[in-house]
Amino acid sequence: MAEKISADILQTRQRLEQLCENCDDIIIRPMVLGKELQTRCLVVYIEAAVSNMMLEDSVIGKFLNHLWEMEGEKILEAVKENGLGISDVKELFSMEECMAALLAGNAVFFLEGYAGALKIGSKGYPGMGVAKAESEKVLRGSREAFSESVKINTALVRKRIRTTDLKVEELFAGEESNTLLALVYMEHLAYPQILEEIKERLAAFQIDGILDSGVVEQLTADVWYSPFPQFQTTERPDRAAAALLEGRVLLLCDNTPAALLLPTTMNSLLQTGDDYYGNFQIASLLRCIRYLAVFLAFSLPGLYLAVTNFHPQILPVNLILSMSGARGGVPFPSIAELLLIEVSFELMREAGLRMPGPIGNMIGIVGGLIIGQSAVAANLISPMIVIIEALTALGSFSIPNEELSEAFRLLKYGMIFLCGIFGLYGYVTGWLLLLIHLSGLKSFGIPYLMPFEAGERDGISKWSDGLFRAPLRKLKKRPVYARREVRGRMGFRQSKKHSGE
Amino acid sequence: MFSENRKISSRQAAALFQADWLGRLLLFFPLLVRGKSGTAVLTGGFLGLLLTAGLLGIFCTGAREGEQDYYGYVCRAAGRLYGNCLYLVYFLYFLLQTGILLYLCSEAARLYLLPDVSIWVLPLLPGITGLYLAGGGMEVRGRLSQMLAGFVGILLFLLLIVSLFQIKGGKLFRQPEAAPSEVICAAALWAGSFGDLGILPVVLSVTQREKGWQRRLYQTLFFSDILLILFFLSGYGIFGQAGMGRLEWPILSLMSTSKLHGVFFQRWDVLAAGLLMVSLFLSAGSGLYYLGLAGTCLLGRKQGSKGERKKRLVLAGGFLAAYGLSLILQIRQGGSRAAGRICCFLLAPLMMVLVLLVRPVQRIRWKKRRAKWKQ
Repeated sequence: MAEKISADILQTRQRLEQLCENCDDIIIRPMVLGKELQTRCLVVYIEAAVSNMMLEDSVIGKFLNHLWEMEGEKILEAVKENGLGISDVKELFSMEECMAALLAGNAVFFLEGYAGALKIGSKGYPGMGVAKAESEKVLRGSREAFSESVKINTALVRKRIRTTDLKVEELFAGEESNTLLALVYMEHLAYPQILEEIKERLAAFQIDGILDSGVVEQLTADVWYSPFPQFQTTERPDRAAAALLEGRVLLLCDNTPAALLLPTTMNSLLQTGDDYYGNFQIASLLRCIRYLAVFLAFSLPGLYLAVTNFHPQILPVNLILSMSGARGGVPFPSIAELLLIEVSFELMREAGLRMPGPIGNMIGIVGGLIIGQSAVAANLISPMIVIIEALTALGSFSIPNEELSEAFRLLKYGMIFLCGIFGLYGYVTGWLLLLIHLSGLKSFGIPYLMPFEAGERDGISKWSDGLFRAPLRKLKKRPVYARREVRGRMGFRQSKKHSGE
Repeated sequence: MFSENRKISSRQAAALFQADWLGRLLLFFPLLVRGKSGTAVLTGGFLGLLLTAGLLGIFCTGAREGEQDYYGYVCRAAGRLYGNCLYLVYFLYFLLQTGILLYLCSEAARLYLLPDVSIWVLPLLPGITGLYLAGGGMEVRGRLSQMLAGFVGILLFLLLIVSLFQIKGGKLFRQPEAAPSEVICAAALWAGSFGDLGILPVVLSVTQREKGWQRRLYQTLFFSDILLILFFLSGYGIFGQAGMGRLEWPILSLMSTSKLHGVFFQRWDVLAAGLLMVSLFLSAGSGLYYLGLAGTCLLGRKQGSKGERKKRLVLAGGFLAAYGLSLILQIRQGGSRAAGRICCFLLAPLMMVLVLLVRPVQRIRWKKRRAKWKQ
């Protein structure tokens, strides 16, 4: 049964505060109207969705201004008689209707003695200042990206999850900068221990300024010396909303056009926003390709060195002959050749990144085509090395998370040295050292390599949402981030025919 | 939170044993039974399997639920002296075994991968990797083994299946008869090679026992045993009794004979060596971990940062000792065989007996104490 709105404004306010507990982005503004300032009223709205300017400029705003000058006892009558005559106002009679209107981005007006409310229409959630996602491009799905303001970012998330179960807790950090941070989570899904832990970690350091979420990330990471990202950054509100529905927590930082997601696993870093929007077979194929990309980015140059320098016998004779023929005339040993091209590539990448758009693209052409071809022609490097480097770079670019890609790019040098000295023996050592490190990593208590290890302890299968993606209708459970008792996320209301059972 | 309980799952416990066994058994066990007839080895294999399965059953039934600290339990149940004796045997067994593993890694690498690198350097790589792994504790070892044991096991199994196509029936079925003593010796060696089952109570004390945990351990044991039996069948079928007696690393020689037409790889022995290395490295990590654990218990455990420092020192000491031992085994002809026999015939049985006697000793002590109270 629908919950009625009380005519007692204090009771209504109490109920609203209860419903919107820990929703710091929802504003409950009490006002007193009438000449004698005796009639109390409330305006409730989402801060970023309904601006003060909009409230003042709307017809209801002007109507409210008129109510300031009225006698107390005439206000209720005026609202009842005139309220519905205003074009952008609708009368609401239950608390559910009020909450739905509020979360849809409207303001709701309550008045003392009136057992109803008025919905004041607004243009809804922000479109202003919302840019297109640049670093997480998708073929399918929303094009919106987070902006630099926490207020707008929380509204962008609330636009996608319209429930008061979505909590937004605002905090301030940085002694001098007083940067606004927001912890966003689904109250019934997120583990309270994770929330406590992140709050404790945020309170554990003192710093003069937080100018980007990267500072928070470094100061609150589980293992500070690991090159692997222990928070997932995303610039896509739809991705953030999906993570929230999985039970993860979002950390927003003012002046940062990205959100931090926690806890994080390597599997989540290798997923993209549109993994769940498209066909499961294609999504699975793409995921396998991304894992292959990790393999290429981390170990292809090392494997090349190990095989060509130490164990060429494992390759077919024709291939060995063509490879050694291609290397003829190159004055450097393979390892020096590889390091030369790796460093050149890093230089080109850095230069391309710092240059403005069109010039950056040109550097790619100059570096990749002209310098590469000239170096091969001058016998400085062999064509095989260029192919290896190109495949490695493709692997590195195919990893959807930039921080993860950077970690593998860095560790690749260790692998090159190990394989350059010890061949396949070094290759095995390199992989094992990496896997030991990753097995030891945890992000807020969740093993980094979940669900490939320890998944069965939480009933999570590595096959359903790991290397492959099961059909959406089979993904009925939330991942490990959500509380155990609320893992179910999907069911079918209709007949078995539709559910595919 | 989730995995802060320092426990591993039963699947991880089973994977730990599988990862430890695969490389060591396939590389080292043939060295131990070299010269014995195929009939003795294969019959002994089945007998050894029954023996180890029986021991596993006893350990599983006797394992106490909720006992988190096995050393503490043994000391309480059978006395401190008994606890120290058991942990001394653990220490010696894993010291010897880690030494053998480092030797195996460096020797296989020297013969098949890196003939020009000094023997002083080769054991360092598995040693350092093992040290890093052991430093991560039981949880990290469990998780890593869970990921890799199945992968390595299945690939090795497939490689062995490929090699089965080269079997010549005549060689396989033309095995000399074996004397009963030879069969018993082979069975004892076979069971002794699974000697690290003696550490099972320690592993079980940190294992969450989900439904079917015992079945998983049995599966692991049977899988490893079947892999070994399969290897011997192929080995005797391809090289015959004489060939198996002469080859130093029959498993790798076996792989070098495997051929698959149209497949890119030309040398399966290098791939097999790489896979066996993964298992050996993990095994070295396990050896160092148990070595460190036993050493810390023997030297007296401490809480806090002092305890951590002590643990690290013991671990580093254990690594140096195992490294030194591996060098000795490389220098001394037949040293590895002797060390393996000490493990199989002396330390493994001693370890098992001491573990099995904890309960009876506890009962005797309890009866004595009761009699004292009555007096």
